[in-house]
Amino acid sequence: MNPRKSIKKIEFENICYELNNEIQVFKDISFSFPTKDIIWVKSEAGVGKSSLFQIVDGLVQPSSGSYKLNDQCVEDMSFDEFNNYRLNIGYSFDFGGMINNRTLYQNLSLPLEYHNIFDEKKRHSKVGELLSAFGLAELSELRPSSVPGSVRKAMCVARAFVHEPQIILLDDPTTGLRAEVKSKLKIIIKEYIADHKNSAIFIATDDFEFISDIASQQIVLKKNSLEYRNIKENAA
Amino acid sequence: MQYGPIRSGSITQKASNSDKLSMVTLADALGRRMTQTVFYWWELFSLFYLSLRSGLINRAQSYRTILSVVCSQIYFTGFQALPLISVLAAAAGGVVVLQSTSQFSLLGGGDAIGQLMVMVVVREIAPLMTALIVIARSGTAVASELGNMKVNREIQALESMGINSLSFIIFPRLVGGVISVICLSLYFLFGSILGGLVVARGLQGLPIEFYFNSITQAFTHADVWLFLLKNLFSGVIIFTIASYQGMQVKLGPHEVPQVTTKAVMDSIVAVIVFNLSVTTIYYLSTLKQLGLI
Repeated sequence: MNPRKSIKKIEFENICYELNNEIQVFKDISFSFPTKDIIWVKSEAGVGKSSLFQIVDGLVQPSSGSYKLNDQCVEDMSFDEFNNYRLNIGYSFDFGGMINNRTLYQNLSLPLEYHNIFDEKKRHSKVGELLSAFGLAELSELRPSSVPGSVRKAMCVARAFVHEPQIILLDDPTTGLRAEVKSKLKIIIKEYIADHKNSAIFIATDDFEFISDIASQQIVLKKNSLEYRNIKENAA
Repeated sequence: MQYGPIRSGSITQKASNSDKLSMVTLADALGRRMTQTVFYWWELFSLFYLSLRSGLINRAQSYRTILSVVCSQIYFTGFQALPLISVLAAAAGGVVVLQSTSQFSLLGGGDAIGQLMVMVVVREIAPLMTALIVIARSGTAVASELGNMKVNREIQALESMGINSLSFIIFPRLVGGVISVICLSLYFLFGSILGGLVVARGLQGLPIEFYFNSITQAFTHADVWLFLLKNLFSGVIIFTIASYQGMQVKLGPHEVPQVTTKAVMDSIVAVIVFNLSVTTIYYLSTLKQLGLI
């Protein structure tokens, strides 16, 4: 089992990122991310919310500049070294991301089994708990291709929570979700933050109705900058 | 009116400049192509080495996880190809025996049937035909499967779960594929010997004992090594190229058929060149041993 490392600091230093080495997404961004509570990542379409999350999760590397976790440069880490941090990050994609040759249950249990996180009993109960929370227990033995898109999306969101990571990145989590699942997700997010005091959930969404009453902080993503706002303090 | 080559100074000057330019362009294109080829093969080697390394030393990944994928790869690549291999092997063996016995009987060299079977089937046809069948069936399947996984972001999802795609996806396919190629080729060998037997006994009336004795006497240790070497490397080449091409999909589903076609073309060329090179080296070394060169 990989020892998970606690994430205390997430920093970008002069980050530039070009999508497929062609389209400039970020230019010279320096920013220190909050690591607690619910953070709404807001931007115009196509500005780079998904790219931002992919850099934080180590799925893509910035073209230049450095991405640091706890003052350690991620670019200098090997796959296994970064895994110690990555196991404390949960990521839900804006589309796709389900493993098609596995059932929904296996999709949720895969990271737990692979990294030997929790004992078998807790693994089973954790997966069952999440499936029930999203109202998908009856579909657990089906494969992603046999279920509607809304279920696939819900499963992808659920998988970000399954290993109880410290940082959760939810990219457009409500797109395609049914209204009751959306309200369940809201409850799950609130409960997760209440139970895991040192955790942060970053949510990139345009769904104001969903995010407005749960987010306490906001990051506004612009072409060449990131702006931080404390929504609660501003509201007060 | 003046006929013949134009003597105008300015025009010849232009022509000579354009000749120089086209030579430079040609050299440039040739150099670029060479560099790309070397880079391509370096990347293939790196993928093979890294997936082998990560598969063997990845402490997080249990052998049970790898074994299930290896077994399913053997099932799809090896077991499901058996009917096709059976037909081709029997036909190949039958044709070789039919042609050789009919020609040898005219020349009085009927004893050489085993020698010919070993030379043609064991050293050449079995490894090459098996490789071509595996490319057509499984090379395409692996390339398109990985391509679709890239499009559906399954590879990214695995990485985001901390699962190394090299050890979890590529390594088991490589191992399963290589085992399948060796086993299929061995199966091809037996199939063609049996096909040859049917023809030898049924059409030519040769005694069974004579047929088998002739083949077993012709077998040498070198044939076994040659057979294993060709099949082992063919398997590695096919599945490394297929995996590499599948992982090259970046933008969308339209790239999947493109990479699949490229995987097939590159694999066929690489396998043929490899087999030809090994055969050439083997015969040159045999001639050297005999003191003929």
